[in-house]
Amino acid sequence: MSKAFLTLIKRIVVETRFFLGFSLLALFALSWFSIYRTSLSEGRAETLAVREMAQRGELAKPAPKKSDESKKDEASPKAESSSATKPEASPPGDAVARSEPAKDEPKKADGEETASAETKSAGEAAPQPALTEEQRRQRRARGFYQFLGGPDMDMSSGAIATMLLYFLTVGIPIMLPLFWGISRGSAAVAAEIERGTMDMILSRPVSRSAYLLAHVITAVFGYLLMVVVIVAGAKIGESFHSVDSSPRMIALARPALNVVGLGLATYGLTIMFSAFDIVRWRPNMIASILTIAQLVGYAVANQPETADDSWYKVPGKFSVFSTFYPIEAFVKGEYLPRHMGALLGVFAAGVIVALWRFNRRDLPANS
Amino acid sequence: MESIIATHQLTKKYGDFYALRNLSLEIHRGEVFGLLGPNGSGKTTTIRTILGMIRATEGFASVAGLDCWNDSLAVRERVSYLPGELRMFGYLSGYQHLKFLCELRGGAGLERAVHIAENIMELDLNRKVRRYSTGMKQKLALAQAFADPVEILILDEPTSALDPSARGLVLDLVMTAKAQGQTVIFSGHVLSEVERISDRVAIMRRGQLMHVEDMHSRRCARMVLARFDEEPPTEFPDDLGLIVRRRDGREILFEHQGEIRSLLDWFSRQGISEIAIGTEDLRGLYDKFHGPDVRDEELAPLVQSARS
Repeated sequence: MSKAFLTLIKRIVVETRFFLGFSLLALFALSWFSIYRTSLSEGRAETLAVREMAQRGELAKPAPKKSDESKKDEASPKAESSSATKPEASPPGDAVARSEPAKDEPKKADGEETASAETKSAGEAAPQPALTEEQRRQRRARGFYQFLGGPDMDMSSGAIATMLLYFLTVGIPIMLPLFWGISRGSAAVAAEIERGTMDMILSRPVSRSAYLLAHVITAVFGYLLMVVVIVAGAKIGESFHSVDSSPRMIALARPALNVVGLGLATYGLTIMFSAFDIVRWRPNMIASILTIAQLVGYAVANQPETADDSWYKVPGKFSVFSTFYPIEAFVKGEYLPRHMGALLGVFAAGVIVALWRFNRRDLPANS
Repeated sequence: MESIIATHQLTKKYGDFYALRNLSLEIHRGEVFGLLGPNGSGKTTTIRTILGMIRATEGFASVAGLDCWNDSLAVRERVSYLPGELRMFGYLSGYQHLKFLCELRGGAGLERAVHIAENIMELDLNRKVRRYSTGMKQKLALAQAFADPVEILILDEPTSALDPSARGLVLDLVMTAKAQGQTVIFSGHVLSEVERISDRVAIMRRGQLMHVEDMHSRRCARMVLARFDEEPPTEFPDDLGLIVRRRDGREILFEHQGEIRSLLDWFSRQGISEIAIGTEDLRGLYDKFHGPDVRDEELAPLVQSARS
């Protein structure tokens, strides 16, 4: 690598140090938190009680036997919250497992699982006596109080707690790589032109390809660091909070790789739009809309009641989220190469188009 | 003279708009070449095409025989460029900024850049660039440009944000660069500066080359304003080298190149009541193409002449 190329990479790292640093710290903390949360679930009385209820067949749908895989899953940042509808990944003792569906139920979107858990929790409970208006009012008030984090808030049960956990352990770890991808992709060309610093760099003997690849390498480097901190957060958290079955390093790395694969695919799309543009907001907006549309399309396509030949299944085929299976990647591992191949394919295609376009385009004055 | 930069029928179109039209130009090695013209006349487009930042719609540009688009990297190894509108990385200090740009050229020229910035431009290189004024940023960029070990310097409005004394320093640095054998393209709006340092000047209008003036010949030329006692003659002896620039009754403005003694002898025999001799600044030439009453159709023959 030439000195100029390394200088470009160094400059981009310096520019992004705060964003990247914050993302890495957040991912590390959340990974640690997921271990802590798993550790709490395994030891608490409610968990044991539910486990016993399941064994006595008092739950509407019995939890499956605890397998090695499900033990691993308990230690996963994503597995715990998503395991509600994953037969192979369900922590049997956790209250969340009360919403376990039948094994033959179609696989659902991660976001949908939580909502499903909420519905089923209510639906599976024993017939309730009619409540008085006062009881209903008190229940609403208590629920609101719990939502705000009141002292009797029960993190092991209840839809709100599940939602919160889901958001912390799955939502944010997905969002951060997506933000990183969109931010760095749009910064590569459009933002540099908009800021007016492209002239200064490309009037030096630096090829356009080298310039763009420096951006790509820095983004990929950021993603690799994310994988490292997710794994490190879980492993270090484990030394402070014991869990029943310690997952192997590779088992932890798989879901992390799947998450950053999704981020890389988003980065590829964003840098492609960025290479055509001269202002940052437009590739940002297009990439954000496209990402949200893919997420919505994926959710629509994966509704459990939707027939396989329905038109509603079509959007899912065009969504990169269709390759997003961190739980399966964690538990089985077999999905990962295929899914990562698809995600990396989108990333590579985006970068190739960006290189092609950037090498042929005019750079406007004062860019 | 050997040409180091050449354009041939260079044209750049944006839709129906011609940013450059059939620009054919040669810039000689070691000369200071002035580019003049109002905003939108095509100066910056010409420069950016030479740097390979813009792809010509038709025609070509070359630097030292290298195609400016296809061999852009090799071209930029030979060229240092000061953009007209400066944008810098505000989070870097002045020194870090110079170091960053030098490292993009393999690390060459840092010592000289620091020397120019600190000792000639009197900049504090430890300050963050974001705390620099516009003029200080311009000085920093100039220090970088003049320090680069290259054959060609392209300066796009290099004195626009500078105080008068700093402007003088820049002109001195241009002359030093010329003395060291560098070729300088100096694009600007301050005619007196361009006039002072340029060997040749190109005047552009609406993407077209209107005129190329040899400044050495121009400096030798003089303007003579004569008021005749009687009706002046309509024709003048060829060997005097007189060209009538303006006739207003008994008053005639001549452009003259040649022996002054024979001219004065001739005038003494003509019955002259008043005579004033001086030089014409670049303004007169510039106004020929950009004066308030100039129309495009009047300039068409001049464009043809400049092309040929």
